[in-house]
Amino acid sequence: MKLSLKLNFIFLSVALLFTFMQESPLLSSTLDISKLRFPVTKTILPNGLTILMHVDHSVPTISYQTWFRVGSKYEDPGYTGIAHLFEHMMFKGAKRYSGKEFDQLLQANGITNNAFTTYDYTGYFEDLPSSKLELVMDIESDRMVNLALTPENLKSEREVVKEERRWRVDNSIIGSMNEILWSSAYKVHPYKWPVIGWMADIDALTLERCKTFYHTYYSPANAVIAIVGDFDPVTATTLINKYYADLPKVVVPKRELPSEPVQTQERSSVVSKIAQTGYVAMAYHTTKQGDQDGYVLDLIANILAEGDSSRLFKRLVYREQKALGVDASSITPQDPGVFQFSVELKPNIAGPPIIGEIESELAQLAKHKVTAHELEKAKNQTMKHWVDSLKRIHDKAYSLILNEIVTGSYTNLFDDLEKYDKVTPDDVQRVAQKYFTKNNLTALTLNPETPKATKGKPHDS
Amino acid sequence: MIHKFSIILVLLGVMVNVACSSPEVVLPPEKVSSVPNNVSATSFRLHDYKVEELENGLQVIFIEDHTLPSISYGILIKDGSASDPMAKSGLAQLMSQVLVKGSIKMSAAEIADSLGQLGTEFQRDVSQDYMWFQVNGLSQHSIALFTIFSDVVLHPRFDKRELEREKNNILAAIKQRPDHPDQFASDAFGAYLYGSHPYARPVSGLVSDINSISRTDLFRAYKHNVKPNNAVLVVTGDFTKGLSESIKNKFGEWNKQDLSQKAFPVPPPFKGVNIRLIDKPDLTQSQIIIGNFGIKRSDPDYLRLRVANIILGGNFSSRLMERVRVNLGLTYGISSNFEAELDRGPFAISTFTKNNSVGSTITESLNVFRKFYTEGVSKKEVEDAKNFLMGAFPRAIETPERLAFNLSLLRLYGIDDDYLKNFVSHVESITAEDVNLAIKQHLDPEDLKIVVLSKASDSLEQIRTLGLLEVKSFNEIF
Repeated sequence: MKLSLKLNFIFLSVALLFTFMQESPLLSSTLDISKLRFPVTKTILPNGLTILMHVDHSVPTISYQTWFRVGSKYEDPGYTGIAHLFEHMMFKGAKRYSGKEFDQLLQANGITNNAFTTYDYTGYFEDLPSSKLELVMDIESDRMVNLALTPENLKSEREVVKEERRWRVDNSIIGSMNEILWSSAYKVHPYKWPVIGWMADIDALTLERCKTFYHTYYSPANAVIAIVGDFDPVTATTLINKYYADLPKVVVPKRELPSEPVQTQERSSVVSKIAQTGYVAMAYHTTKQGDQDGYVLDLIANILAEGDSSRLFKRLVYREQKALGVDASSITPQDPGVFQFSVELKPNIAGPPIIGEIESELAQLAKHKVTAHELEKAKNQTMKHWVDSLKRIHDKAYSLILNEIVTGSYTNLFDDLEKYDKVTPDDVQRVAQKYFTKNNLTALTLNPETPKATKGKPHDS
Repeated sequence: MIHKFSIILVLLGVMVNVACSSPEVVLPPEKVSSVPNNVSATSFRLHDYKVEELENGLQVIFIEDHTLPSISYGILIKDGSASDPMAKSGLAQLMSQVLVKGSIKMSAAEIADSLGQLGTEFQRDVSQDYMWFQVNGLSQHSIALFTIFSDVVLHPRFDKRELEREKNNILAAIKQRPDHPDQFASDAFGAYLYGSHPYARPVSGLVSDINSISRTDLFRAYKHNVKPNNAVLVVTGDFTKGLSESIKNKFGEWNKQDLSQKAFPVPPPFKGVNIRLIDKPDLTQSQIIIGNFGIKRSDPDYLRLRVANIILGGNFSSRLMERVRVNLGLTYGISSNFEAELDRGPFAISTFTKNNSVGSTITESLNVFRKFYTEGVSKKEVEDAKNFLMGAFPRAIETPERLAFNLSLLRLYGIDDDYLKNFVSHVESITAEDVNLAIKQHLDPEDLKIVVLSKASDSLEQIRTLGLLEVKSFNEIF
């Protein structure tokens, strides 16, 4: 694969400063991408389980990750939050290992574990000392098919999740604004409800629903395992066969999700909430994972809001001093996502004019081509993030399994850099014109209210 | 493609930091010491590293690693916000923010644009005990990155307009702080516990102090704290011998200066259970922090207390987690922590719960803590906690950058590198008796300060009888 990216550094004002180290050997000015590829083996068992392995002996640990192709988008209205609540139930014990033992046993063996849920998938991981691989496989294969779901566990865990919701959303400005933004931008597609679910739905989830959810979505054919780190692949393969090969093959139902209809007019609203300062959030519908436009949008996000040299930072934070911070992100999940802005305003700065300022920056992108210089900056920053994301064993496992789950093949990870490199100033202009239109915008402003001593919020108990 | 999702729900991370935090600045006398790996074959081998002390007293740590085309330069300054003069709180924070906004040769925009073009930007961190500046990037840009890094660190401009901008930013962030309940509660607990001790002040400072900071104050703080014999320089990643010589030459030009002795006042002692209820009427969930003074990082019981803390509230299977979250469903997260610093940092139990279960959450947490204190921990618990600590250790220093940062913290706190080199055997040697003695010596469940950030009309009656209570509004705390 030819991957000689031309990301030469620029002899700008920097060059003028080179006074003291002329004698240093000249460094290569292009990145050697071949150094960034690493060998991975992929196996699919007859029962449909996919296993990715990559050996890295740099530290005596292994990252063992098990992700399932199910997230909140497969929930039904009225039962939102089940994918996430269910993730909590996965720590409550199975056949060979009880809930009491579960965390205790892992941690007593020097293992750090956790899990997370998103719109599209749910992930579980253990970071373990090299010698503990078999223990982890025993535990993970047990809960993949033998989970014990009891009413007592559901009762206490439901309360835990409600506290999590109060923490992440109800008592967080950013959390609540984000929830409102997505539920305004999406009218039909399941991305309209939050991953954590609505409070009333969390309250209403039943054990029966959890059981059905488990038997539908948790099985070898719906899972990918990544094993990365300090292990012997022959031994690992033997263990995989021992613990997973006999698990039954279960057919996972294919679900057609409703497409989000094209948005035909701007949606904007003002949220009044007790807060010290204002906040602006904006979303434009874009595209899904894998589309080349997604790479262009990532670079646009970088140009607009990555670091002190970005356009919006310079304008809103530095020059005008109206914002504490500004963020732009292209979110491209499996189904079409959004390009999202959020701005934390300084005290006494009103939100609506800020939306206009961001729109004017977007109009600039659509009207004038970015220079090769500015685009190269965005590529350099993106490439550095990419390299940083492969520094730790845990992160390598994460990147591999993420690509396998979301794009269908881990190998896409290694094509990313080339796809970024291909982006031209024309692409940036075309993509800006395509997505950043008035009718495609959902905009929210937070109008900060002053607290009154007697005012409460009765909506959650 | 960047896979970002707006919401990723994680079950609550357990932070791993090995050499984190604490006291006594001892300047190690050694010169050019090359440190070979001498850990036993069965235990973990640290990356090879090299420490040199330049004639001006600057310690330089080199960790070479060519597995990725990546390089990092960092410098630790052994003074943080605790060194801010009286009535000038926030000075270290402000100085560090303005420092990266202009050198004698480059303006703020030139620094941002040049680093941006190289794919990176300045990273900064200020704690109570130190300041940290770092630039990392692709090693194809090694020289350019170093040129900017050294120029910014060694030749600050402290532009007046940049000072006003950053002041304005900090004041806005302080104004916004109550919108982040956990951060607000944490700062409020520090203020409540430490009284007139420097650790009482948030790193970002107090509004009236920040307003009074001038450009002269920045130069004075720089001159006073940023000097070679008060710093550790770290270089990690894919670099050449030629580059390391150039780095030593450049930083060798820096002039050594006198060091002043650091002395902390004694924080105000107290007895019994004291509660500060902070009223914020819009909250539906309350933040709770319970604690007292903990230990210095140099305390010989440091590792024994880390083991103790894992058992009490340091991971998912801890006693607090088991009782308050798993059995009772009162919270999503509860943890305990010793923040071991140059002076005695806090020991604290932190959690949050809906307003109408504040009383039961505090009572249950205290019950767990009292039992932990009176009955101690078992052999099995200690063995499990040791395994957890040893198992997490390699990840805490997995990358050269993390190892280098940990090594520089050891130099801040005057701890020998042996702490890291023989970490596993140090942990292995800890017994249940050691841990129980340390618990008895450093903790006391009868004398505690508690901060509750809540809607007071919901929570007041629940906690009235739990201790000596005072009620304040959230806008009269700082």
